[in-house]
Amino acid sequence: MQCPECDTELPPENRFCEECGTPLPNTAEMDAPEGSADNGCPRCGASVESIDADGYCAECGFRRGRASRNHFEITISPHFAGVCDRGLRHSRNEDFFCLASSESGMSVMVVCDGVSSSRRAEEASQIAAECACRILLAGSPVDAALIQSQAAVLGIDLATAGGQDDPATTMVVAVVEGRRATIGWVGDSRAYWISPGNNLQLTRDHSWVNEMAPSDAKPNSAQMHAITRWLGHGAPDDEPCVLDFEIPGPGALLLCTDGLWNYAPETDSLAALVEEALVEEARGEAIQTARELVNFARAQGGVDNITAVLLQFPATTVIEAAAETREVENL
Amino acid sequence: MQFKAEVFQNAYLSQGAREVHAIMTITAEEDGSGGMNTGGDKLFGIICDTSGSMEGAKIHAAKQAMARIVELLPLDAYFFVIAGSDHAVTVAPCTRATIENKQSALAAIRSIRAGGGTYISTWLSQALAQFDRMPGAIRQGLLLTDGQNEQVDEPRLAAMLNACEGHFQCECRGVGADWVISELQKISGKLLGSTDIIADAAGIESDFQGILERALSKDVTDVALRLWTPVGARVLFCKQVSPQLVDLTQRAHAVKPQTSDYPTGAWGRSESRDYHFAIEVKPGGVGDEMLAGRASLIITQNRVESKATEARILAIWTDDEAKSTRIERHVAHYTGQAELAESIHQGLEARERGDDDVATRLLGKAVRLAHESGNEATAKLLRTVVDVDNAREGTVRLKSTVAREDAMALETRSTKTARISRP
Repeated sequence: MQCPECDTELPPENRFCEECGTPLPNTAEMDAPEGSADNGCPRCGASVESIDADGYCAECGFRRGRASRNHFEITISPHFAGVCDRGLRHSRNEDFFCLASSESGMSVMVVCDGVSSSRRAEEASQIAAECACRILLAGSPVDAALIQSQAAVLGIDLATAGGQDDPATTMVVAVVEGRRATIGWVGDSRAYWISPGNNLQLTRDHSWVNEMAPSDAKPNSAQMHAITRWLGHGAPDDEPCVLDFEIPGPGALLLCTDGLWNYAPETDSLAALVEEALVEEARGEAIQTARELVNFARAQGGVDNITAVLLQFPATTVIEAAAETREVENL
Repeated sequence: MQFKAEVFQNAYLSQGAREVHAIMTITAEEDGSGGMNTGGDKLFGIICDTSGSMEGAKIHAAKQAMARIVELLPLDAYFFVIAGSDHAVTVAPCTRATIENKQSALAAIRSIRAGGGTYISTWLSQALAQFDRMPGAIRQGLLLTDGQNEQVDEPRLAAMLNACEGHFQCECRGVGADWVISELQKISGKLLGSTDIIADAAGIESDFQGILERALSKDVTDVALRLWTPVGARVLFCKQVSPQLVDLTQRAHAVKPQTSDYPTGAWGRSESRDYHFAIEVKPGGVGDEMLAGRASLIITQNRVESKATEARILAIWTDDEAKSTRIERHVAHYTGQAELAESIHQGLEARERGDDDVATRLLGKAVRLAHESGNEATAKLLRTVVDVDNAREGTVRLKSTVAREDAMALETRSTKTARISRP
């Protein structure tokens, strides 16, 4: 890879030019959304006409975009980044996430986990996340974004629809402006606030264990993981779950799928991992922490797809944000 | 009539693996819609050996069986009869099976006398001329012989088979035990039929009737299996595996680069066949997914091709060994059936050359495979050649005396496979 400013040859993982310090286009942008740029087959160079409706190349047979959908990273800033990974056991990555920040300083994060018992789950998670991110960035409230994403998943073109296995996905979103965070969710993808001495699980899973299980349910029964709400066909017509959360001080907002939290079911154990990563990485960049979390889940077995997205509030930013809020109040 | 295709495979491959296996089940179903032009003309041709060796009970039974077939033909069918020896005599030329035409054919059949040698190329040449009179019909031949083709006719026969390929289908039957299996299999293989033994001449009539019934049940002809594979891939084999093993690998006819047609002949209502594909592909990385093959059924009617059904063969590379090491049960079953047929073939060869140890081991293995897969028909045939001590373990003893007919029946029928049982 070459620096666009000074043409210095750089290793592909660099995010800044070693010579002139110019920020480099992040790799996530290059291998993120499949099919958005129709350039034909990335394997053999066949023209876009050779790609069939399901993404298979009529020349080399390879399905387009599988490799990059398996693992992708997005870095918006040193404090705001995420990683999505196939894990070790699943053949596809059915998780997806989107990050964005507006010019006004609003941060949008969306994490989706395609329900693996459904068809085209990887499509459901991507379509839902992209839809929610777009709408939130345009200023819509969180509940409207959840409703719109539900419509987007239902809009997936199916030869036959209406079955048990129609595309479905979970979703957790967070919109942060200054110190105010709005969290919305459907299913068992989670949002946490992580801060020394004050770790909180912000969302409550829509899961069988939470909503229906008898109190003496065996902790390992298969139903434990069944979700009771989702986006897609047959989703219960309940009010979206949305809550407001005031960022209390320095810390990090973590959004993740069950591929991560299953290996650290207690909030404090997950928080310990985040803190450990922060200590190990001198600069404490969000992308490094997200990678550490994904690697942790892989090291534990990587049974499911893993997504970890972090928006960090270092001490300095919180003070700035607080100052901003005060200014607004004073006007 | 409507075709349906279903693929059974474990698409998961370990890193670096290149071989993709899949079983495709194709079923022809009566759907009432007509869908495609079915119920066309049917032409049935009988080619009967009348050489000197047929003299006596054999020619008598063959004449009776031919007469019976002519009587049984529906009035709207077409037929012809050829008597073959040093040359071919058209006993009844290609004609509609009207009452008058049947009567004159029956009279001609009655006058057949045995005599002369066996020059099968001349018989097929005459049959080809008759079949080519009705190229749009469903064209089924039936060849009966009792002896070996003359040595000098071999090159001409090979050339004639090439000329006949695609012009008609032909079932081959050997009566008695003085004919050569491999010779008839060469003919039936090229002409999409089977070879079987009629040990006793008295059995000719019922065997012929079975062939006629199957021929009359066909509705569409000239159906090809079209296989697309990606650039850089190689078809290791393409076999019909049910109801009978037929290796089609060498029968591939390139349509364009990456695409070949394999002939499957005529299909009847509610007929179901299974095919086994093995494709070697360029290996992908973990997480990669590839379309390793696209198999479709192509029907050509009045020189117009139409695609009846299609199915996909996939490859997905994974580092999860639990997924990649699993063998799909249909693939496992038919791999076993092919191994069964091969064990019988080689076991009988070993027995023939007096290598009893190898014969006992291979036929024992065959007994075990037949037992495991529930192939009762083959298990029964095996018991005519070996005494079974333990079928599950495949411990057998060679019988000291085996009728030549029994060994031949085992050899010819060992290609019949058992259908996979429901899980």
